[in-house]
Amino acid sequence: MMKICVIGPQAPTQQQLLTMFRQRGDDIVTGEGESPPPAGVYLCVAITDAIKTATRGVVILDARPDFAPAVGEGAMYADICLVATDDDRLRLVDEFGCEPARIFVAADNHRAVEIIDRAARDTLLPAPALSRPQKTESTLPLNDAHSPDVALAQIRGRLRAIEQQADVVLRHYRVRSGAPLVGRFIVWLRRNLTSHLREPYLDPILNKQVAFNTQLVQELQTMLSVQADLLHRLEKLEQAILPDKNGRE
Amino acid sequence: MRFLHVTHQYPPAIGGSEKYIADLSEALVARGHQVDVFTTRAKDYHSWRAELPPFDCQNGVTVYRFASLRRGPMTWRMLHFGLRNYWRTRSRRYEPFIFLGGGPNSAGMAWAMWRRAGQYDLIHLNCLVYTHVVYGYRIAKRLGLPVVMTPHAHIEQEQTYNIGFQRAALLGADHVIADTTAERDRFLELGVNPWQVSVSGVGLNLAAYRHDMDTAAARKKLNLLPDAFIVLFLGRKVQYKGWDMALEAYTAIREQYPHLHFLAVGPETDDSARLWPRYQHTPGIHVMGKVSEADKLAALQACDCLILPSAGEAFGIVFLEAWLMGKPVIGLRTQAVSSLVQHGYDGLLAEPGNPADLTALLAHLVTNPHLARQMGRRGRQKVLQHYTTAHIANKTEAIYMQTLRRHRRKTDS
Repeated sequence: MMKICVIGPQAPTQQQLLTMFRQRGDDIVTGEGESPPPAGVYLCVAITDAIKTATRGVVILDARPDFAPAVGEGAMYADICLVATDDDRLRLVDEFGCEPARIFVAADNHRAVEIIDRAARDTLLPAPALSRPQKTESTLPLNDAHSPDVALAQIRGRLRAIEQQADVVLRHYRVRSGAPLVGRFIVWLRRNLTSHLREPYLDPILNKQVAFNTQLVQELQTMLSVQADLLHRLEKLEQAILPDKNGRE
Repeated sequence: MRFLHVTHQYPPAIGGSEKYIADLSEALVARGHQVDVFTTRAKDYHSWRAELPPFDCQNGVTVYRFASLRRGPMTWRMLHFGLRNYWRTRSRRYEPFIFLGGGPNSAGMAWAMWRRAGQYDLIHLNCLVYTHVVYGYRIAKRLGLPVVMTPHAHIEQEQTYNIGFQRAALLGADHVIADTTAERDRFLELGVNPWQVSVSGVGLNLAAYRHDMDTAAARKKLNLLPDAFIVLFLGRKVQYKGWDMALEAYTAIREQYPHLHFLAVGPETDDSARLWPRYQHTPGIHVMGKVSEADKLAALQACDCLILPSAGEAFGIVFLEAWLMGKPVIGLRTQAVSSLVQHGYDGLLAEPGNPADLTALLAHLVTNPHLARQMGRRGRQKVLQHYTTAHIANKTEAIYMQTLRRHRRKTDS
C-alpha cells in the first residue's frame, strides 16, 4: 500500500486516477503549501512550491490535462513528469531543458498508475530517447574540403610561411653593452673574441644553410605548380570521362 | 538548504570549470541557499602554488582556501610515470603515482571536510580530473552525505575520468552532472545508473556580458579595420586548443581574401612562442595576450566569427560567449563539441586532424557573411534558451532536490 499526497486542484482525469488508487487500497491525502504531510509519493497536479521544496518521497508532476508554459519551469524539479502527448514531451525537453528520461507519455490512467507504481518502488526504467527530425539547415552547400584547390591553397600557405623562415641568420643582431664608460671596450672585446669562430666557421655554414633553405623552398614551389597543373588536368579528364562512364553503366 | 561545493580552484583563478562553480554558487545563494566553497589557494594548477588568501567572501559565497602540496618537476615526472604505466598495464599499483602527481593534495582541505562537512545537506564535487574529488567523495560517503559530481570530463582524453579511483568516485556518486549528451553517454557506458546522470552544461551570467558597444566601436577600440572580416581565436594559445591549425587555415586563404584578418586573444604559452616566428610576416594577424573582461567582450563583439579547433574541450564555454554576441563558431567535430554545435545550423564543424576541412569551412563563412550572421543569431537564441546561469542554476537546484529525496529514500529504507 502506498501513501499518496495530492497537491493542487484536480481535473476530472486526475480524480479518476485517484479513484483507481483508492480502489487498490492506497492511502490518499491532500496537501498544500511548502510543507505537505509525509508521504511516499507526492502527486502534484499543478505547479506549487512543494515541487521545489519536497525533500522526501517521489515527486510526480501530472501535466496531462493542462499543459501550460508554467509547467515547464516546474517540471525539472519533479522526479517524474507525466504528459499526454509526444509533442508535450518534446516541448519540455527543447524549450525548458528537462531530462527526456524523466518525462513519460501516459495516454490513459492505467499507464499513469503503472508509472507511478514503479516510480514509488524504484523499479521504473528511464523513458525512451526522443526521436525527432534533425534541425540541419545548411542553407548553402559547403565547399568540398578535399578538392584540389583547397588542398593546394593549404600547401601554398605553409610554403609561404616556410619561405619567410628560410633566412635563419640573425642579420640585425649587433653586439651591445649597457655598461657605462667601458661599454664600447666590452663590445670590441666580445666581437674580437668570437670572430675567430664566426668568420671562418659559423658564417659560411649559416650562409650555406640559407642558400639551401631558399633553394629547397623554390624547388617545392615548382613541384607544387607541377602538381597543381597535374591535378587540374586530372580533374578535367575525370569530368570528361565521368558522363561517358555513367552513360555506359 | 546548506550546500558544500568542493573544487580545485575558484575565481580569481581562471578557467571554465572555475567559472561554472562560481556562477552556480552565487546563483544558489541568490535563491536563499547557503553555499560554502572548499578549494585550494592556487591560481595555477601547474604548480598548485598557494597565492590566494585562505578566506574570502564573494557575492554571498563563503570561500575557504587551503594550501596544497606544490607540484614541481618531480611531481610531474611521477604523474607521467603513473599515467604511462597505468594505460599500459591497467594495474592499480600505478594509481598512487597518478593521485600524488595530479593533486591538489591538500591535507588541510581533507581535514576540514572531515570535521565540518557533516553540517551540510549535500556535497557537490567539481572537476573529476583532480584528486580533491577522490578524497572529497570518500569523506562524504563516510559521513553519509549525498554527493553530486560535475566531472567536466574531456571524453576524448580518458585519463581525465577513467583512472580506477576516478571511476570509483564516478560510479559511487549519487548524481553526476554531464556537460554534454556525449559525456552522459560515455558515463552510461562506464556503468553509471541512468537515473543518476543528467545533462546540464555551463551557463553564462548575462549581466556580465551586458555592454553598449557595437561592432564598429569595438573594432575602433581594438584598432581593427572597420570593413575587414575578422576571425577570432579566443583561448590559451596551446596546441590542443588548435591554435596552430586555426593559423594555418587563415594563412592558406589570406591571399585569396585580402580583407580577412585574424585576431588572436589569450595568454601566450611556450607553444605560441615557438609558433609566432613562422607567422611574423603573414599580414592581417593581430595578437593580444591575456586581456581584461572588457577587452574580451570587445574582441567578441568585433569579430565576424570565432574559430576554436580544440581537440580537448569538455564543453566549450567560448562558443557560448561568441553565440551570445551573435557570432557563428567553427569548431572540431569532437564528441563534446558536436553535442553543442549543430553543424550548418548554428556553427560549422571541421574533421579533427584535417586542416584542409577547416580551411574550407572558414572560406565558406568568409564568402557567405549573411549565413554567418544567421548562424550567429541562432546560436544566440540557443544560449538564451538553454545556457544562462539562471537556467543552469534551476537545473542544478532541481538535481540537488532529486538527489536529496533519493538519498533519504535510501537511508529511510
